[in-house]
Amino acid sequence: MSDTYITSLPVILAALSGILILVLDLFIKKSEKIVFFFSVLFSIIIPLPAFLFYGLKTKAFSNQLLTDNLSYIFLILISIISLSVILISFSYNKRREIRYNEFYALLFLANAGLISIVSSYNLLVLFLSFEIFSFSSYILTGIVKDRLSSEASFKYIYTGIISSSVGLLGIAFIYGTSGSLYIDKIILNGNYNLGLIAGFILFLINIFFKFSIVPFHIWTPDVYEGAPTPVSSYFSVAPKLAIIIFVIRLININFINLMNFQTLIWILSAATILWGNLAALKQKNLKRIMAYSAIAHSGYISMGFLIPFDLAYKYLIFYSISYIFLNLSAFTFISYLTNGVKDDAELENISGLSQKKPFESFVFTLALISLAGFPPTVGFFAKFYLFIALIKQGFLYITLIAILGTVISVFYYFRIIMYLYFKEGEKEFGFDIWGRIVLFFNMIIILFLSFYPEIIFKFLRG
Amino acid sequence: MLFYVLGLPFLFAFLILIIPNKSKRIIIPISGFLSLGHFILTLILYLKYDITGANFQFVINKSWISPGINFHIGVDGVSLLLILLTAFLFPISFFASVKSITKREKGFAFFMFLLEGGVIGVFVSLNVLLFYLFWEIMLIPMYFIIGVWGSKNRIYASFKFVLYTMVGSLLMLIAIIFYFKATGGTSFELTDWLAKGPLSNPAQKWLFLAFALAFMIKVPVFPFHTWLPDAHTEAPTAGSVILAGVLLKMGVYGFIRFGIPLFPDAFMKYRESLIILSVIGVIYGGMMALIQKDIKRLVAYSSVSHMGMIMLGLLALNIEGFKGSVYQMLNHGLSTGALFLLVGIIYERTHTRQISDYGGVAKLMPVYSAVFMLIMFSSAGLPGLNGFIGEFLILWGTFEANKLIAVFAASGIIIGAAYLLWLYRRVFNGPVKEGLKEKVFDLNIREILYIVPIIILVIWMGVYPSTFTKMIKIPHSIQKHLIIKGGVEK
Repeated sequence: MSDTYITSLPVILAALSGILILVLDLFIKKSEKIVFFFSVLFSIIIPLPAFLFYGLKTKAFSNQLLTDNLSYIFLILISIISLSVILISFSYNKRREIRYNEFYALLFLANAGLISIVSSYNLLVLFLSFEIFSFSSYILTGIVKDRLSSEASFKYIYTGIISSSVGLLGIAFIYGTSGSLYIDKIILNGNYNLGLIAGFILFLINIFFKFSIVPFHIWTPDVYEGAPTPVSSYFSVAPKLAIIIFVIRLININFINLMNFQTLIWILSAATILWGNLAALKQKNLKRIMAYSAIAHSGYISMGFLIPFDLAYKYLIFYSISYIFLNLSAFTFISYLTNGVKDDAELENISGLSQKKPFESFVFTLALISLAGFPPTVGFFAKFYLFIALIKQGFLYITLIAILGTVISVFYYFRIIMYLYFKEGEKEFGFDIWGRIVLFFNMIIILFLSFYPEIIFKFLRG
Repeated sequence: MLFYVLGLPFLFAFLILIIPNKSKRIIIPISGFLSLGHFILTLILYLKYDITGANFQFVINKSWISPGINFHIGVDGVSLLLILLTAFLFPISFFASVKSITKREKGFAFFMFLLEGGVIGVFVSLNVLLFYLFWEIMLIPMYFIIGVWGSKNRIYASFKFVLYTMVGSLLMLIAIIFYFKATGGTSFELTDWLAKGPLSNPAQKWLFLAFALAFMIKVPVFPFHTWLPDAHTEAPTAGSVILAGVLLKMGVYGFIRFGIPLFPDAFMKYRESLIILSVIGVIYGGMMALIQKDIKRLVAYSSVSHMGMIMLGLLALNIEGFKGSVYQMLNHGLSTGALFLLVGIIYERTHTRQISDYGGVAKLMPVYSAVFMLIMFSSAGLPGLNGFIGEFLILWGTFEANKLIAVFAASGIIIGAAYLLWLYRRVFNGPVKEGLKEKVFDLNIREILYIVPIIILVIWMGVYPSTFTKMIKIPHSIQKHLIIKGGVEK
């Protein structure tokens, strides 16, 4: 197969899956189970190129798209994410009366956008990929017909479009001053005038917005709360992972150091860690708590943008992988907290749930303890490696701020555990087999990585 | 062998989960027998330990995680004694909980075993990061033990406990990473760090402060003690026993194993301040114990006072002080642990801990009162019982180091006698309180069976201390850096 096909295969597969699922509904009546089956099947097929071509580096369409090991790692992870979202949404969609084919089709289209972000090498392609993802995600947010969901979708569209246009303006600046849309060429050119720097700042604002960095995070809690919980789960991990991979590419060409953006990143990540953790303290809804927790974790991850490539490659991917499984477990638990057609994720509702659902509560607790960074869970090692890399680079103060954030985070993570275990309550929520399977596999992976974190580095070394 | 001593509690924790829910009545007795088996294994380890042998024995060193985190464990005399104490107190705590833990027995046993594994892990780790991992592991089980099975104010107490400990240990984590970077960024091995020699100032000073804060919170040294009365009071009996018996020792052990050897200059610089804080702790803890209305809180504050004494012995930096300090750790584990057990026994009957609700208990429970008196005297340091040996050695060491401080410390012992005797008078003597007679009855067989081993040890350690003192040697890592004045083994 030629390079062109290999490079574009993942995107094509994802987009094709979305379209096929959308079409399926036209021909089959009562298609829910069939749509579910095909979605699961497709999300197993999509990562296959990663196993076939791992280690290969290919480019296509006059270098506008490329795939390398990073893209393949992303492909595997995004498939795991979308698979678990599909599994947990099977009963969730039924409870909240969401149309299956639309939901899964949009999910695959969003996946296609994200895969394309990771593969794009050209600013314009990057922008378009972002838009593909964003438009799918706007609809996914508002796919439930209730006030909260529509409101969230509306907010998301408005803020999203504003940030996209700012980003587009930035790209225009960059093109206007450097005459190129390829980041590495612009950087290697070495001509850093004010227009270029302004362009990159505007461009980064768009990225920061999608990554929920303070002060561009305002949409996050509302969208996470209003969106269907499986979708919130998807939002909290998938786009972040894509952006992390994109930024690792930027770090590879020494972008942040050359443009002197260290201070900017430093300040923003400190603000994100502190604000995310502090704001989470006051929340009473689990989805909102997890939203602020996701913001705080964006802050921890963005600290990692300061470290050089060889460390960032290992440790940021380690952090993302641990974060993905932890967040997926937490959101899987939360997505079963529904009452009739409504979400019911208030903190009080889980009082004493550990007595009725010991296994599910155990996995949720494991995820929370790990998100708080307690040893010997994988969340601890993720933070530990990040701190090692930062202190090696001499970033002591930001590490201390991260420590402060971690201490604050103990408050709200442990408050959830307190409700779960220490209080008494009557409410009960049912878990179906798919949710248990997702939780079980997450638990296995979390425990395995907790005692053998080395395996990820072995895998990354190839 | 040591691997099994460390690993068995973790294995038991998961074995317990397999027991079906139908037979949950037997979970705690079964756990008691399992941990009794573990104690016997530890005894075998103790018998195999060679007193004249090398510094660390039963060493296992396997590489685990990069960079430089090895699974490196081993024991010397000090850590072996503390492991023995741990393994001794756990079966007793289990048997003491048979009646008092009436909900979620499985979870209780699970967390107790995790706790035991974590504590033993702290005492055997020779890799700094491994030590840190175990140091943190025991936090979560303790949080649950206080939070789920504790008394009324448990949620507040468990939160406070986690938060205090977390602040200290996270700063310690940063200090560990910083030290790691300063020594070349390849190894977390304690021996490698010691071989490189102490760091230069001011790094050494700051890192020492971070380590010391974590240890001081755990001990607890005044003014970081405020979590302790809450945690002790609200925890279930078994939790209080373990907390007082072994968890507090981890702080002192941290100073012995890491604090002093890694930062000798900084330690000498701050030694005076630490001595003053410890002496304040001795007197303040005693004073606070005098005015408590809650029996458990009184015992908790007496812990603050005793732990101050133990710190003083260590800070005296001579052989008597060191031996006394380690010996007193064992004594405190036994006598304070036993006091909590006894308070728990009477609480199970009356469901009150207020001193004013009691009176004339000696007439109703003669055996109980006799046992209480013996343990009380052990705690107050009556000659012939274990407490005397420890306190005597500590005072001797302190006297050699600083006479004035020794005078203050000795006055702390007097206060100790005062609050204990006063407590005894109010609870056990005088007229029988109304309504008490219907509720209380004397010790039953189960209670006698788990108290008797403690009594035997209390007397043994008071009459024939050299069984244990011969195990206590100042580690080479401390001896190398510090001038140890006086004493026999210079």
